Amino acid sequence: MNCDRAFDLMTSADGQADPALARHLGICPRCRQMQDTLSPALDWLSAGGTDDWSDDRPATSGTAPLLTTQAVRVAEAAARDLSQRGTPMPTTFRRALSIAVVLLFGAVLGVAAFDIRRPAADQPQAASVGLLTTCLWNDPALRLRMPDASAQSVVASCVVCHVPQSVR
Amino acid sequence: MLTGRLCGRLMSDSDELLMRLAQQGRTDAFEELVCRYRRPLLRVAVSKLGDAVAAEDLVQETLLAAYAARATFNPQFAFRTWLWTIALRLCQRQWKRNASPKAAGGMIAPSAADATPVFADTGLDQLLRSERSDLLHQALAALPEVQADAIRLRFFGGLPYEDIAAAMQSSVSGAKQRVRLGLERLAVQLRHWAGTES
Repeated sequence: MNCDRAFDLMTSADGQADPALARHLGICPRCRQMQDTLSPALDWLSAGGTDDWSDDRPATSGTAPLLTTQAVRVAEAAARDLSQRGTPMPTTFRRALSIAVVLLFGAVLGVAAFDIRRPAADQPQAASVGLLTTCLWNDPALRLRMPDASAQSVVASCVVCHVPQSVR
Repeated sequence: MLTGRLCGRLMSDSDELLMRLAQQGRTDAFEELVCRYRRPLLRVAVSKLGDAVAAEDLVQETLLAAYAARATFNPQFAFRTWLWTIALRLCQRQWKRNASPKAAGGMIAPSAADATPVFADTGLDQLLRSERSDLLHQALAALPEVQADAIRLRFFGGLPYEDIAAAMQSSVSGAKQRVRLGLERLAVQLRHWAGTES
């Protein structure tokens, strides 16, 4: 648990008794300090938030206007705001689509990784085929067309080309 | 309509599904939403307005406004965010109209309030609890409005920080910051009242 999660639990009615929070407070002096600082407010809020509002209370005073046009406008504006700034909740279809996209991406990534590894395994063979047929000493321009023009490759081409001749 | 008599019949359905049904004319679906949200809305409204009757009227107005404007709501979005946004805006409007929140019940000497939570059901305990509640609401009313509202939504409405942020049009970290700063000020005030601060 991190300190952010600890704050979430500390400031929720159910979370305050969470054993994970107690464990975190045991090892985190910063959060312990925070809880000490906030404890009067947390205690009062926990007690004050449990006022009993039973459902058999009268629903209204009976005299105030129950619904104003202003209130409906507020509700409509809130719905508009929500659509403009919010991200729609994931529906089952969207969730399925997201999973499919992730799986497809994973598959593409897997194939790409396989392809990357395969040329790596084949590379010495391909390079050696190219280098064995023509010697860089004899044709220096070949170096420009080499897939890997590092010093190591150049030396390797020399070895591959000349060592067998020397041995012979 | 908003009686709560039909509570629990559609309790396994999501808010958004219930809202879709309500949009199709199913009043029992909206009744289920009323059952889910009336009490937390009421707790927040009482804290904000400091008057139980006014709070009940406001909650009723919030729910009726949501029902009247149901056609404009897009069920792809979270219903609870929409409802809390309406409630908060109506509360703010009402609160500004009243200029200052009316204290429910008489004032008592702050030091008379017990520092430990009281849950027993005797008349005296209920009185003490009510007085503590009044003091708490006064302390909340003295905070900057955004901090107090964030605290009310968190503790009385039981909202996760993501919903508080959505209802208050802030970031999640901003909502947490508001709660934290508000709690710090509140703690100082309550310590002072309880006489535990030098």
